[in-house]
Amino acid sequence: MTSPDGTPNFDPAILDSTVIDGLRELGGEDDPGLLLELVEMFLDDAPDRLKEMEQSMAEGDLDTMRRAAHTLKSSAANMGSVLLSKICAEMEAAARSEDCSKYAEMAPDCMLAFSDFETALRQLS
Amino acid sequence: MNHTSFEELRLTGQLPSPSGVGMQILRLTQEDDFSTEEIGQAISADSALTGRLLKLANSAESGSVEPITTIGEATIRLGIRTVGNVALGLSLVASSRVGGCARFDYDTYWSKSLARAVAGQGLSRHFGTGVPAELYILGLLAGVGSLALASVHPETYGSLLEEHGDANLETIEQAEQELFQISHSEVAACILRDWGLPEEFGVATRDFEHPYPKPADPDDPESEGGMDEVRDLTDLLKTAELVARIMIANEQTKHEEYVEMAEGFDYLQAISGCEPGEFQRVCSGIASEWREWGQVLGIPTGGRIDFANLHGRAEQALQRSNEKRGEEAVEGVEQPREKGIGVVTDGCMHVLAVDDDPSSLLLLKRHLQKAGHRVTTAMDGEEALRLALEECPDMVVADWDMPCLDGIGLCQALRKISSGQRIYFLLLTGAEAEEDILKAFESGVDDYVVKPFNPRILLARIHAGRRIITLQAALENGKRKQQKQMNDLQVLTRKLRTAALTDPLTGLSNRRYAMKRMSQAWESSSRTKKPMSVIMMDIDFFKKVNDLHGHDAGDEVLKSVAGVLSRCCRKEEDICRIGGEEFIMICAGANAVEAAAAAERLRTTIEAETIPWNGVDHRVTMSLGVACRKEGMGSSDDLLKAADQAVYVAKDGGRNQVVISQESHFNLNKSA
Repeated sequence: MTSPDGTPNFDPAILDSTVIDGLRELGGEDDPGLLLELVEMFLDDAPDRLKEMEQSMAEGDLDTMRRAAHTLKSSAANMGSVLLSKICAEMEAAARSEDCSKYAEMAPDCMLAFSDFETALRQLS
Repeated sequence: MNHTSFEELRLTGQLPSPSGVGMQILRLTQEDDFSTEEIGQAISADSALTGRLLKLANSAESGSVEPITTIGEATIRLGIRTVGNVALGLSLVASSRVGGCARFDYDTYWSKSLARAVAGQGLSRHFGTGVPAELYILGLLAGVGSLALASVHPETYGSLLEEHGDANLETIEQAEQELFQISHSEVAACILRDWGLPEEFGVATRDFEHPYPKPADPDDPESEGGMDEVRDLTDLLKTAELVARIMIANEQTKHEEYVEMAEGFDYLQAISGCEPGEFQRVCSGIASEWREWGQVLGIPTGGRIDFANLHGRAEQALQRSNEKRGEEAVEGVEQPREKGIGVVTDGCMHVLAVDDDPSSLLLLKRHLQKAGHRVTTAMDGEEALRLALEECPDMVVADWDMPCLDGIGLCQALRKISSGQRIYFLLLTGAEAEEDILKAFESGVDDYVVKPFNPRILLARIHAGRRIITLQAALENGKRKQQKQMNDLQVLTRKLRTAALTDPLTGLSNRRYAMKRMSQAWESSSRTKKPMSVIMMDIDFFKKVNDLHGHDAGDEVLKSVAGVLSRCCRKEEDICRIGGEEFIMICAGANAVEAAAAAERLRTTIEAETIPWNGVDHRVTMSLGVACRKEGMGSSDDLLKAADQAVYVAKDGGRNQVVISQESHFNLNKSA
């Protein structure tokens, strides 16, 4: 969805636009490409985290399950995600309390949330 | 020569020492019954060291078919001693690559030492003398004396370097003697001995910097620098030094030095036993090995070196200096590169940012840079630890949760090391639970910030950390000043002690020292049952010199005689001025025959010496009395008396002669 002047409107449930504005401002005039660089980096790395979550789930490796969720939670939050980082936080907690079934339950939601988030981010470029 | 000056250096605990594995090996080899396995195990535990040692072993053993791939094989090929020495030397590079003396150019020091090492090894192979791997280590360590002085007395030595940086070797050594009562070559020899390296190493390090190799003077076989062939370790080290100097020469090198190097190199080629082209190729091979090793050890090296055209480069240097003189030299004083220890200006700090997530790391870096800080980054705890120790940042901002070494582990590791304790550590964490926070502070963290961080809060906390950093820096400065004052005090005390024992006119030790030394040597001789002798000397007709030509002439005579005597005396012998025109030589361990030979040597040398004064050449002679410790002598006083009597007899007998005290003389109260 875009507003009349062409700038994308983000569903606040998926992406917090104030964070994006903040990142744009951080780059400022010296580094206008910073935002896109960060987005690229995130979209490059995140699938690996998701894969880690999947694999570690299959192997029952609680530690990796927890760490992958934790990392994705942080990096997604840095990029302004709302739902995705929330789900990751819950999965992290589940891994910490060794609740593998809960972790597995939330995995599909996580994939969906990432997909939506990715779409939103891609609209920036 | 007394070694108390070196003792003092050692007692400061600040001499360069080999790191970790090197220290272990040192300790092992100091016990007599160390096993090959223990040394091999110690080395194998350090993979970097193992790699470098094997590389060295393989390059040292040219012509062998099988490459050496294990420490065990290296030990068989080179011997355990050499392997141990090599490990020791290589680990010194790790521990002393940088240091706290601002004016000491560590990069150039190590670049040249490495050049010398590789040259020594290559030349040893070429001339078929010595053990190549040993020459490598000797070359690498030969200059350690300067490094040591810079470590123990960074400020004082730094000033010395600033004042005499361009001066020749003699000037520098003189300044070192004045300031520290010891020269860098002596320090090097003592350190190498401490580390259990062969005696010949120490001998070589004392001599190798003196003149470039040149033909031996046919009239004086003991002239300095003379070399007809490359015979031993010292010769090899000298040639390695020359080649090394050529390798590190650059635009700053002066014309005169280039000329000397060119001449030395020409001479080397002549005695190299091969065609000039081939010798140049050997040297070029050495230069490329140097570059290879530079990469392995993290030491800067130079580009291609043209050994064939040294005279041409000398010309270029001359042109350059002429041009410079033509221009107005308006050069600002170059600020010494301070290894910043908490040097904070304008609130800008050097921050090490650590996070295993790339986008988070980039974000953090940008925030920090925007606030004006200088940022280094690392993606895991291990890398961060290494960078923190190398670059000494003011602050570390690290994520907690990282694989391998996490934020907490990194902080704990840093706090274990003294240079890591002064770094302000800010932890980034997603956790807020009480136990986690407590755990963080327990491991030495200074502050923590919850993720995702609010940039303004983060920067505010970083700025607050600056206060602590500044306080720490002030404390450190105070400590360093104190340490310097203590070191200076030690040096001053030493100087005073020495002055009290030195004759100001001649620079020889005085009577007080002589008496002390006599008792010492006497006691030692009693304990070890070794002989002891004493030579008393009196300048003939000295009063006449004063009467005829004045006291200034007399002083000149005394100085000349003292000079001759100290040149003639060996390390184990002490020469002292004990009276107006009286001297004594204390020969611990010498019997009557040896002492008599020494006395005769002295007599003839003095007789042959000319002393110019007011355009006239004067000559003097001495009467010498020799006495050896005998049964029936109760103390060193008896020995002195006997020698004194012998001098008396020599005077009586016509002067300019040596008289050896006999039993009968000892019993005489007065000679007939």
